[in-house]
Amino acid sequence: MHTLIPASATSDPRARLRPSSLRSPWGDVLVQLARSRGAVTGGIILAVLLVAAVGAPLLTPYDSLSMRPEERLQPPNRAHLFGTDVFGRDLWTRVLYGSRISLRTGVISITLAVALGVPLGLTSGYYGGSVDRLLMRLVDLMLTFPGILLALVIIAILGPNLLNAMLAVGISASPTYARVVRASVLGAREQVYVDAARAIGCRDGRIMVRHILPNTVAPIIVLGTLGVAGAIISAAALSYLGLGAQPPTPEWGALLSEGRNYLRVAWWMTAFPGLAIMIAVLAINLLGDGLRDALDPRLRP
Amino acid sequence: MLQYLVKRAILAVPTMLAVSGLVFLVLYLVPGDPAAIFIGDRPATPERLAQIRHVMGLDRPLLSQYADYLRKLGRGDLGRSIHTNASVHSELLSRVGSSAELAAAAFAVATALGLGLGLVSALRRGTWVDAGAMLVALGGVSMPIFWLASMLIFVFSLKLGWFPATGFGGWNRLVLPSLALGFISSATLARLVRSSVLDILGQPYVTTARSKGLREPAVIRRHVMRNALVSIITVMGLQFGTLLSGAVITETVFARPGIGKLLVDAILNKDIPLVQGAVLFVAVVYIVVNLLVDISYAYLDPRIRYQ
Repeated sequence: MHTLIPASATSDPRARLRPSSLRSPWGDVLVQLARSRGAVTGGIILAVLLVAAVGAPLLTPYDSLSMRPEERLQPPNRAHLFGTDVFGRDLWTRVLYGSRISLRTGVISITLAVALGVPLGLTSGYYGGSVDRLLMRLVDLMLTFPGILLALVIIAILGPNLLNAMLAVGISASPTYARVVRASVLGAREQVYVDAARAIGCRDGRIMVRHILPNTVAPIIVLGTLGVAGAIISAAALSYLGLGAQPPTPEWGALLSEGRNYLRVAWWMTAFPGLAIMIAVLAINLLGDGLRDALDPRLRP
Repeated sequence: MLQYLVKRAILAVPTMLAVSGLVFLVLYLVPGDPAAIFIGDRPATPERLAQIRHVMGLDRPLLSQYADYLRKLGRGDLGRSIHTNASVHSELLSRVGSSAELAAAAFAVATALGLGLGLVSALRRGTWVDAGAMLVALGGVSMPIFWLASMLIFVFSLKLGWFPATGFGGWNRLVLPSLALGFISSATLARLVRSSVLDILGQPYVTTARSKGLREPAVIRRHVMRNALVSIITVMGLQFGTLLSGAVITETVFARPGIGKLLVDAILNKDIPLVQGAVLFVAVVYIVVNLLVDISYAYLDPRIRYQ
């Protein structure tokens, strides 16, 4: 007989009895994630925040920018849940619209960091040798500037505004991704399947993207999720220092900056935007911790 | 041991050179004419700009300018602030005391809190003490320092009047900033201390120590903590970086005249020489601290020394 045997006939019939969600590695991850109380809590809070950010106009009768001087500096009350600021703007509305800006800032910054760091780490780990040494020197140099110092240098060069703050946070976060990706690549490039791919004539680019990159996905997802939390805080810090989002943009850090001079008379201008940052960051951190445990326990501190 | 120290110290030299090169380049990366940046907002004729360019050596090749920059650095000459016209060197010196005081106090708070929380939660694993300590640590990771600082000012300074909110000098002006900065920096440490202590508690040598009748405090001190210290000190070194950048923000919130506030003000004033000086200073401090961390490994872990 020269006909090919159908694949299904050779497979273990018992395999078909297993629930399908358990068969893929991603299904396993989801199951693990659902078991983690922290991750579920974080995920729910984050979902609520995202819905609030998208549906902001439905959740408030006010506009985030229009001023009503006759209602200035009101403490939290029935009409103004979070009180009003010095220009009579409703703070609940500003925090709500601010979530759109702050959450987006965090995601964009980390997307940039991943877009810069992953190719760098991939090239460095795959080619090794002098390419690796040169690129890793660069990465080490960037890591010599602690925390937001590199971001501050970039802002000093580009000038203070929200777009530059995102660039600064993204660029300064990228070395971490380069390092982690490089480490995964070093392990993966010695695998037999990479030799096999090379033997059948695959080009370097294809090997890197199709055979090596998938190995780095888990750590990138974990670090990226935790990174968004860090990026939200960093961008808010830059805005607080006057080096990021500028008034009247209701970015959370900028809101705190506005409240700074009115701390004595209007604590709510400082308290609520800060709580918003904390809740969002906490939720993302909880989700990230859960993802780490499910995807890549080696990354646990 | 001495050989190891010398080797590590020499390895730090190229890093410092690279950092100085990057800082040197900042002036050229800022859009616009460096000579115009030096003049600031004052109006200038093209002839005047050309003259400045010549006096400052801006018309020479970049590499020879960098060599010049390094020569000046060697003499401690960091240029002059555009805003105040004072030398960057003296500006930094006048601020360093305040920052050092804050860093030291915050580091002490962070270490005490981090070790305490981490150790307690590891030893009481799975109890409400553990859960509570880790919740506090998670809060510390997630809380923006400028918010915590503002809230501390609101409660302890504006409402209770226990401590002054701003300025420098005297221990009572140090309490709130070092608490804020120390707490934020302790969170990561606490989580790490917990996991590394838990890891070590499961090692056979801990069981051995216990089975030979050693009391628990001695087991913890001699067998658990000593082994946990290597990874703890790594993280403390890394956390020092977080602490440095946290200090930038803390100093701004508390209006403390430190290097961090100097840097932020310099960026806002487009005072590039001052930015360069402050950034170089912080980066060098960080490199030196990491060097000290590496050296302390060798002291704590003989395996590293003899490699």
